[in-house]
Amino acid sequence: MKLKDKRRSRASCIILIIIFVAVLFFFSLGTFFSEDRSFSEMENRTLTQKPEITTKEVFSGDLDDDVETYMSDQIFLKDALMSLKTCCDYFSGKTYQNGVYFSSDGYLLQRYTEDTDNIDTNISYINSFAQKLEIPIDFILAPNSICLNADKLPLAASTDNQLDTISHIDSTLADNITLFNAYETLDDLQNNQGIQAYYRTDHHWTASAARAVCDAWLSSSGYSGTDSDYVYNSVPDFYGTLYSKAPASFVEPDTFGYYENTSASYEVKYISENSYSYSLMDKSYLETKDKYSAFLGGNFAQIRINSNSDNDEKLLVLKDSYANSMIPFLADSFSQVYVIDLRYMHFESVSELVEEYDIDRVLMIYNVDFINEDQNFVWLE
Amino acid sequence: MVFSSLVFLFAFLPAVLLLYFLVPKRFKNVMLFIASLIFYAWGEPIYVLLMIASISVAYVTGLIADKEKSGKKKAFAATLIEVVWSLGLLLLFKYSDFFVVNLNSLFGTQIPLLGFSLPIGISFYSFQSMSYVIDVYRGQVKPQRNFITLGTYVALFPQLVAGPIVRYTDIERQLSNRSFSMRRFAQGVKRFSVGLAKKALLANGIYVLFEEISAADASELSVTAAWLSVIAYTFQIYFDFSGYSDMAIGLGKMLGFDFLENFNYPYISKSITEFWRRWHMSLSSWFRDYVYIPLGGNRKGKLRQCINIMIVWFLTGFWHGANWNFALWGVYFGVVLLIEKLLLKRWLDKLPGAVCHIYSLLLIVIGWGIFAYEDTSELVTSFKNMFGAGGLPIWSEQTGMWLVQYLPLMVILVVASTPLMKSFGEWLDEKCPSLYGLVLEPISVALMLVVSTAYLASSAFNPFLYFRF
Repeated sequence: MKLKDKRRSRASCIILIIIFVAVLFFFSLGTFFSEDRSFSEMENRTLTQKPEITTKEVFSGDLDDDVETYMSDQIFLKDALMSLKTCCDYFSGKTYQNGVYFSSDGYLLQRYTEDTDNIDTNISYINSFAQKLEIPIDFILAPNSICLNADKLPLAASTDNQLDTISHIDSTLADNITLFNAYETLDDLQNNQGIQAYYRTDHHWTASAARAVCDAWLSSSGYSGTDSDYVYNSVPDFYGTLYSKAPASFVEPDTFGYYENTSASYEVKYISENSYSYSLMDKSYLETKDKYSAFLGGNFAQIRINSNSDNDEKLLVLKDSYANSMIPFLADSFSQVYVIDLRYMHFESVSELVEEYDIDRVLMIYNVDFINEDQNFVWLE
Repeated sequence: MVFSSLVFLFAFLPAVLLLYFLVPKRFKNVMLFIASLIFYAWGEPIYVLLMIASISVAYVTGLIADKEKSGKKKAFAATLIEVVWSLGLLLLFKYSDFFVVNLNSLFGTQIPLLGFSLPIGISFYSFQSMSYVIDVYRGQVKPQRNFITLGTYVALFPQLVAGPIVRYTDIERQLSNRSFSMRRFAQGVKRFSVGLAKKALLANGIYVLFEEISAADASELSVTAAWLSVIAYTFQIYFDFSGYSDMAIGLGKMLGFDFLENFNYPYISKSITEFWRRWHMSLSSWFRDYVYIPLGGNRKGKLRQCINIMIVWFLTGFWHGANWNFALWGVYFGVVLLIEKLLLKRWLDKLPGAVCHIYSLLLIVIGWGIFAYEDTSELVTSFKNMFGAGGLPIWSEQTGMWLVQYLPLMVILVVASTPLMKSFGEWLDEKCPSLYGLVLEPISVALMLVVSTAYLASSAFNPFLYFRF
C-alpha cells in the first residue's frame, strides 16, 4: 500500500478530492437550500419538520435522533435516493423487499402470511353479527394479486395459499351468510379474456375486475348484471402503493382506469362529515399519485348513496378499499346504498343501523389480506 | 454522533473540513478540540464533562509522571492516580450495575441499581489517556504541556467513539506539527469511502438477515437458518467495526494524522492465534503492552504464561461489555489460544491450508455466536438450534428463501473479507495506472459515496454495534 500510494499521481489525488467535496457539499447545500416538504406522495406519509431546538432537548440528548430523522426525511433528492437503494437491492438479488416480491411481467406481489387466529376472530365477529339479522347476507371475498399470479413469483418465494384461507373461511362462516368466492371470476377474466385483474404496482384490483365480480355476484343473487352504458376512462402513469414499498426506477407504471355511467344521477352523503357530492368520483385525485382514492374520495366511516336505479331495494355494504371501485356498479343496481367502513366507524352498532335504515340486504366486500390482518371487526359487536 | 449518519456526513463534516482548512495553523488544534467536543456532546451532552475531567486528570498526572522531573515516587503516584481514575470511571459507569445485579441475585440483597447510561466511547478514551500517562512514566514520551494538544489527542473525533485506540506515542509529532498533503487527503477520501460502504452497504445489509431470522416465527426456522444467522452476525460485526475503523483512519488522514491499522483481513486466518493478530489490533496490542507484559508475559515460566493469557483474554472479553456472555467469549478464546499454543500448533502447521481455514472460521463463528446474545436464554436457544438440540428441522421453505435472497450479498461479503479486491486494484494500477487512477478509482469512490448515502437515507436499519463498548 505504501508503494502504491507513493505512486498515486497528482491528477488522481485532485479528482478524488473533488469528488468527495462535491458529493458532500451537493447533498449538504442541496438539503439546506431546498424547501422542506411536508408530505411525501411517494411514501404516502407526512415528513418530519425542522425540530425545535430548545435547551431541554439539547441537554437530554434527544436532539441527535430528531435531527437525524429530520435529515433523512428532508435530504435532497430523497425519492431518487430511495429508488436507487431499491434498485441496488434488487440487482444484488433481493427480489423480496419490504414485504413485496418483484415478479415477472412487472408485477409487484405482496407476500401473504396467514394469521389463522386473527381470521377466526374476525369471522366469529361476523358470525355473531349475522345472527342478529333476518335479511339476506352476502360476502364477496376477493383473493389478492399474489393468489392469481403465483406463477409469476421469483425463485424460492415463500407465501401461503389464499385458496386454503378462502375454503377455511367458507367452512367456518355462519349458514345465513352466502359466500361469493371471487377467484373463479377473476381467473376467467385474466386468463381467458386477457383483461388485467390487478394493478401491477398497486395492491388493488382493477375497475374491470370489480365490474366482472360485481356482475357475477349480481347474477348469482338473482339480479340483472351491470348492463348500463359505461364509459371507460383511463389515466396513465399510475404508481400504486406497492411501488411506494419497493420504488425501483425500472418499475413500469400502470394505467389507472374507471367506469362512469353517464346516464345515472347520484346523491352521495358523507354522513359523519355531513357533506354532499353528486358524483361517485372525486376526480381531483386523478391528478395525484393516490389515484385509487378517486373512487368516492377515499375511505369514510359512513356514506349514503341515492341513485335513480329501478331496483328500490336498500343495500348496506360493509367493506374495505377493494369495494370502492365496485360501489359505482352497486349504486346503479340499488336505489339506496349505505357504505360502512369499520376502520373509521367505531361507536355505532351496525345491526341497529340495519333496522334504522330499513335495509333489505347486507353485502360484505373484503379482500383476503384485509380479513387476515384487520383488527376492526370487533366494532361489529 | 456517528460517521454513518446523515447529520455527520452532510452537516458536521463539511463544516469541520471547511473551518479546518480556513483557520491558521496555530488554531487548528483548538478548532479540532472544540469540534470534537461538539461531536461528542451531540449525543451525550452531560457526559462531555466527564470526558473533559478525564482529559484534565491525564494532563495533570501526565506532567507529574515524568520521573526525571518529579522523582520516581511522585511519578509513580501520579500514574497510579490516573489508572485508578480511568478504571474507576469504567467500573462506575460501565460495570457497577452488572456487579450489583449479580450480587443481588447471589446473596438475595436489594442493593439499588445506579442506572447510569453508558457514556459513549468511555472504553476507548479511558484506555487512551491511561496509555499516555503510563508511557510518560515509562519514559517513552515527554509529557504534553499544552492542555489543548492533549485534549485534541484524547477527544479527536475520528477515533473518539469506537477507536482505533491510538497511542499518544504514535501521533505525538503530528499533534504539534502536521502539514497538509494532497496525497494524504486523497488517501483519506478513498479510505473513508471504503469504510462508509462497508458500514452502510455490507454491514447494514447483512444485519437485515440477522434481524429477520431473529424475529422469525419458530415454524419458519431451521438448523441451517440458525447457522445462517450467526454467519450473518459474523459478517456484520466485521464490516461494521472495520468499516468504522476505516472511516476513522480516513478522516484522520484528511486532518493530517496517520493512525495505525486496526484490522488485517482477520477472516483469512489459519489459526485463532493468527486471528487475534489480525482482529482489533489496537486493542490486543494495548492489552499486550499494558497488561500481559507487565504481568510477566512469557518470561516467568509456562504456568505463569498460561495464567497471564487467561487473565488478558478474560479482560479483553469483559472490556466489550458488562455481561457474562462477553466474559465467556473472552475466556473461550483464551482457552482456544492456550490449546493452540500447547497442542494444536504443531498439527496446524502441517495440515493443508483449507483445513486450517475451516477450523479457524468455525471457531470464529461459534465465538460470535456467544458474543451476539447478551440474554442467556437467547444464547442457549441459539446454540441448541445450531447443534440440532432445539427440535428444528434441517431445512425450511423460509430458509431457502433467505439463502436465495442473500446469496449474492454473501458472495460479496466473502470476497470483501479477503485481500482479493485490493490485490486486483494494485495489479490494475500496475498495468494501466491512468485507467485505474483517473477513471476506475474515482468512479468507484463516487459510487460508494452516493450509494451509501442512498442506503443511509432510506434505511431504517443503521445500528452501530461498537457503540456500547
